[in-house]
Amino acid sequence: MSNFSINKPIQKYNYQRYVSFKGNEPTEDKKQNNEKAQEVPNLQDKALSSSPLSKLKTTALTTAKLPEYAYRGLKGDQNANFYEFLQLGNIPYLVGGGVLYKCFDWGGKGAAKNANLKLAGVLLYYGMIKASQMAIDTPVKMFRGIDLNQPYRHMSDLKVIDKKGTSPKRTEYHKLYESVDFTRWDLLYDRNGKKVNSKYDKLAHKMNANEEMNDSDSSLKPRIRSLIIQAKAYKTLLIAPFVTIAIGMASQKPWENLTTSSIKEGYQKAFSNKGILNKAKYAGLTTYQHFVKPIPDSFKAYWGSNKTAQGVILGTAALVGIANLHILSKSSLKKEKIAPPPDKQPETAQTKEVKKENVKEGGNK
Amino acid sequence: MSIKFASNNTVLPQASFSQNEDKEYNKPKGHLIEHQPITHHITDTYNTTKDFYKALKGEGTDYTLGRLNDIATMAGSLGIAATLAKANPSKSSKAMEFVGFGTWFASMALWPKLFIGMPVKAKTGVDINQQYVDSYGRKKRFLEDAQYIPWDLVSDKKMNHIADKMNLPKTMKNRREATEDKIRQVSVQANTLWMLTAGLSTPLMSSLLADTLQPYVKAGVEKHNINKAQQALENAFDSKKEIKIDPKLEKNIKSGNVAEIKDYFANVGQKLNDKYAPKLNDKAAVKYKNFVDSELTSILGNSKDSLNLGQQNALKTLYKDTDKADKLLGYFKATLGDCEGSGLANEWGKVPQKMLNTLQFNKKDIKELSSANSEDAAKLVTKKLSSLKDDTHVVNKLADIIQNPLENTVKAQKTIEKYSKMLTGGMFNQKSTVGYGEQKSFQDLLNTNVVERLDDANSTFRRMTRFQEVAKSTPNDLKTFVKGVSDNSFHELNLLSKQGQNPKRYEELIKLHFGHLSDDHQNFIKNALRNQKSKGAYELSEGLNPKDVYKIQKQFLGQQPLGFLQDAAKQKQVYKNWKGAVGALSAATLLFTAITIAMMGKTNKYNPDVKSEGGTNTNEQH
Repeated sequence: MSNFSINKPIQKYNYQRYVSFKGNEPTEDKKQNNEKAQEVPNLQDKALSSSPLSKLKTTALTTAKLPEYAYRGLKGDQNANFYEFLQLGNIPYLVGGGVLYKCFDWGGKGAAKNANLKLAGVLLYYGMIKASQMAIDTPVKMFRGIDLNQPYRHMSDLKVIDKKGTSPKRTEYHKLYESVDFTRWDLLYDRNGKKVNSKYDKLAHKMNANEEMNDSDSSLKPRIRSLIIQAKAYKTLLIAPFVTIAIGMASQKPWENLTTSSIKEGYQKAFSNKGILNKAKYAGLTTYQHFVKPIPDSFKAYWGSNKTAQGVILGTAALVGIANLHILSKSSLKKEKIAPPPDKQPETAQTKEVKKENVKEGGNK
Repeated sequence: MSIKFASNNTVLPQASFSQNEDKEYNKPKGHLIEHQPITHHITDTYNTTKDFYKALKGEGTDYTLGRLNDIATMAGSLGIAATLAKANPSKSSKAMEFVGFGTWFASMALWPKLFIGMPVKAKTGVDINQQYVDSYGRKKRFLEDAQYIPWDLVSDKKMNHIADKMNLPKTMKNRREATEDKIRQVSVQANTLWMLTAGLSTPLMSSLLADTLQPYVKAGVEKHNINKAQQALENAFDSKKEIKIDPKLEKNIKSGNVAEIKDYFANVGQKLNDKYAPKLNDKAAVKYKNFVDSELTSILGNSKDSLNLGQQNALKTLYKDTDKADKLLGYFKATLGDCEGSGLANEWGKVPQKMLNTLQFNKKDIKELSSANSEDAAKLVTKKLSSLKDDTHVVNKLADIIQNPLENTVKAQKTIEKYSKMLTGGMFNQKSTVGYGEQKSFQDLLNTNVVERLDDANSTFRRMTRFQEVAKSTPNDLKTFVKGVSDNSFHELNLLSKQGQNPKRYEELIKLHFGHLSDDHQNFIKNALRNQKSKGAYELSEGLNPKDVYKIQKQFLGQQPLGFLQDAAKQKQVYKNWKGAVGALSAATLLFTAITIAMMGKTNKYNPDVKSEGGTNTNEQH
């Protein structure tokens, strides 16, 4: 857990508390501190596990930091950066949907039908955005071994705070492949293992390379870069048809019971049961009936509503297929000619001569 | 002087540098954008589309990929608006979905410009919406990333202007750096404020804007619909204009392809039902198709694969007749149709609230009336009506309110009657079973619908103008008048009419409830009451259950005054509550925004003081 704490790990190393830098000149102090920072794993950037739990943790930790970002942001913290601004961008995205629903819900019983639609619409909208991203991320991870959402911990340097040049650090959680221009290739190297390129080698295998490569990292980087760009573009393209389906589904009858009063009533009834197990059981049942069951039902209803709906659904499915085929075929190394590692390279007249010379030199010595 | 490299790369550039120490280096080509041409949105969108295409092929940068979101958001929102519009029955609500789309984007764009950018600029001189173009031609927001601000693009004059605005001492050292610190602080504050408020301001502003625009949009769409329907109607019945037969049908008529012809007309009939029947009268649903089917059967007879000339002409006439029927029903729907989006339905829809105002119901009355049970509501309305001082003036005003909608309703009725008379022969001779087992022609059905709508409007709205007359003649019955024809009073009337006892009371009640109707209509009511099972204007036939009789008569009687006023009060109250909630949250958002802006640029623990006279900036203090 300590790996995920944002400021505490720094305090834990009380030898300095901060890593110091003095001005901009490379001084002895700075060199020493840099070396110390290298020695302390908690002060280095680090790729984190791709497991769902790890992603959930980073999301939770980032979300928990939002109030702090907001507070410091409102004060105009000189250390506030673009990362924090982007994180704050999640607030309007989530709050906006809720307020939109309330703007209809306040319209009373007359607007109840419209309000249902908006609540279902807002929930399905978020769900479908997620689905549109997964439609690309999942095949890419499955067939190319690249988890586009793999998190990494970044230790961000803050402004120097004293004459010694002390620069505190803050923890940020980014995604390894979030930037095309500054992809964190460095975090993919295996520094401690036997082979620096072992992760790249694995990726090469996943990308259908026929044989072992000489420099798997430099061979793969441009291809992965291209894959990131394509994946981002297709994910962006898929948003429009996916949210169209979301709203189409939200307009269907199965969501008619999704009113504030019926949801409230459902949970009140569930919690009036005796015993925690019973309460949980009926609360789960209410959640299922109000929020889960209508999903497949409304999809079927939307499909049957008109031909345009069928066109949108089939078109979206086709687009997902085309997108994945395009990305996967472009990132495949099957037909590429790749230089194998030196020890596995076939012998040519030139290499034979070099070998002979080496042997001679060795013999002379 | 520029540095020249030898083509064979044998001369190292370092050598040139060392020899020319006073050399000018390439200056950054970036610049602040002072004025953008109006067309920049078009060129930006074009460039982004190009970037999109490249990105799909795997080419791009963080910058180009970042811009793709704008197009995706726009396309996604258009998809949403189109889907919602498709789900809405009326054209005005379809239009409103696109208005909602527009107001949403307008709010998203206007909030940071008008409500954050402008006041921040007025207070501090910092323009948080300032854009710049970098050396690579990429357009970005100048203060987007607080850790990377291209200060060299800002002139000293501009920096001094901002420093003056923020009261930085003119004599201080490093004034420019201190100003940069302050601008950075303000930019972080404004960006944070923007992110914290956008989630509230966008839906709130969008709702308020859409609510303000709604009446105009509705009126515009309705006017357009009516004009369009009228034009189509005139064209369809204009003998000088030839109606062109669908070439596909014409081909089948010539070749005598009976099966195809049957399919074609089945489709035409179904379209008439789908378009009009459910909206006009539930009982008449699927009946328009019957007129077409009957006529088709009578034309085709037993023909299977060839048609004589008479049959061919009759089929062409049938095609033209279906077109006429379509246009006439289309006009009915656009004007008198009992559905959202029909011009007159909406015009009448505004009347109840206007009447409520004229009858001097204040906010307290409206709140009470909207939540009262029917007995209390009846008492409240009766009390209110009997307490009106200048009631003649009030009655005149009530009459004024209904004058325009009534005139338009009568006008539409006359237009439909005029064209309906021109429907002769063919499918218009056919009869179909409707509602309660009656055989009706197309014209009968249409005229019944028209009369019903007119009577309904007349009964509901004109009745209100009679409250003064009722109050004067039978003051005790004002409450009975207000409550209208309830189940009980209907039963009482029924008994009185059948038993013939107390004819005076019977006449009194008839006058009370139906005095606003013409003598003919009053006689019809009396007739219907006396013998519900006989055929009246509403064809009350044998075997009809009492519920249906009551339903038909109630429909004829319109909405009762109490329900009418209570509904209006409820609508008004709901709207008031909605405005209250949206207004309160908007006010809170504005207040928060205003306070935050007022605090911007002030010293705090994250931004130490830089204002001391002749003092230093934050960097120098360390």
